[in-house]
Amino acid sequence: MKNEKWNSIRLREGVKLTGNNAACLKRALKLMSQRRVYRAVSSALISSGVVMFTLAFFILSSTTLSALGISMIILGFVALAVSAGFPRIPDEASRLILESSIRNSSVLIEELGLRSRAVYLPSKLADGRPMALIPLISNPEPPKIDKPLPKRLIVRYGLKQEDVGLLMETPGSIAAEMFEKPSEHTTGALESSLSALLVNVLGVVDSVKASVDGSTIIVELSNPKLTIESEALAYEVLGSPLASTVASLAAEALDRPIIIEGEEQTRNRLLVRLRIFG
Amino acid sequence: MEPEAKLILLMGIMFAATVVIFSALGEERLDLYVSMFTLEYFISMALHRSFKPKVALYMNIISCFFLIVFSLIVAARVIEILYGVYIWDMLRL
Repeated sequence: MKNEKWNSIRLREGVKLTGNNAACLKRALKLMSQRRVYRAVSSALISSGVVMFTLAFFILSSTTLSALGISMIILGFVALAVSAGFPRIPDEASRLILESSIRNSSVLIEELGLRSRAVYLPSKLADGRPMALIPLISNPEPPKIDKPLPKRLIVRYGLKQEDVGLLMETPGSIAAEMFEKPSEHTTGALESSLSALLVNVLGVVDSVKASVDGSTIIVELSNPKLTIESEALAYEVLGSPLASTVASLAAEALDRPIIIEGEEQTRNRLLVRLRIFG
Repeated sequence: MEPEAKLILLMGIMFAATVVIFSALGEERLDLYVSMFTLEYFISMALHRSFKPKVALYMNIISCFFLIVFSLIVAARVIEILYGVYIWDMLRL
């Protein structure tokens, strides 16, 4: 912490940025939230654009420089608008919250002795928002759910005595509120909706590719930015946070229950294999 | 690169290209530059598929502003054709 403070002081003094100081600038930029970077850039663009336009239009009578000033003002306002989309919570704090949430889920799952894979239900089967159902008894075949389940933690989904499960919210349940549900159930529409949310809105991956083959959906996420090294039990049951979000969104898009069959993490991509049923 | 950075970069490249090309062609009409910026802004927005709700709201405000400016430019041209009054020259005085 002391070191970071020293670095930022050195920077403010305007020392020549070579060697250690270049690293110091890099670190200072890293410490600044993206929101602040965009705000700083936008205010610099707007103020210099206004000065340039005023000088060029009223004093120099130069159309080219006036146009340049206008373009800087426009870019500044766009950067300002975009900065509103960055979260106020620092990345490190978000990671801590996510990790503690995964650990809490793992403790709950371990305590109840749950081992079967979660079934991701669309909102029409889970009282308003897509949820994950973890059956208490693990069967080779996933449970059949025909009617909406009540919004409770422990729910009964079938007629048999053992048809009881845990109904949990996942990151995908909340992300679904921002999700544009595709109008048609095609691969292209699914890929487009997933891409719009995961790439443009949440910014957790660089690109999304989806392919549907019968009852199997394969989603390829390139450059995932939400990877947490953990051996948590919640991963085995619910899948990784990204796979879980994809499963919830796919269930919502196709209006059918989905389970995560597997996920493969390579250097720059995450391959999520989902199965549609019901 | 983040989609937001890509959007700003794309817009910046388009604006810079417009200024360089038009000034090389000796273009002196400022309204033409602004019309091109408006067009390029809407093209970039169309290429960037979706925004977070708060960003979308601010982008809509900018879009409305562009629409008003573009309407004024068109109105100024219509006035020029109908009455022979060039608004830009009046502004510079």
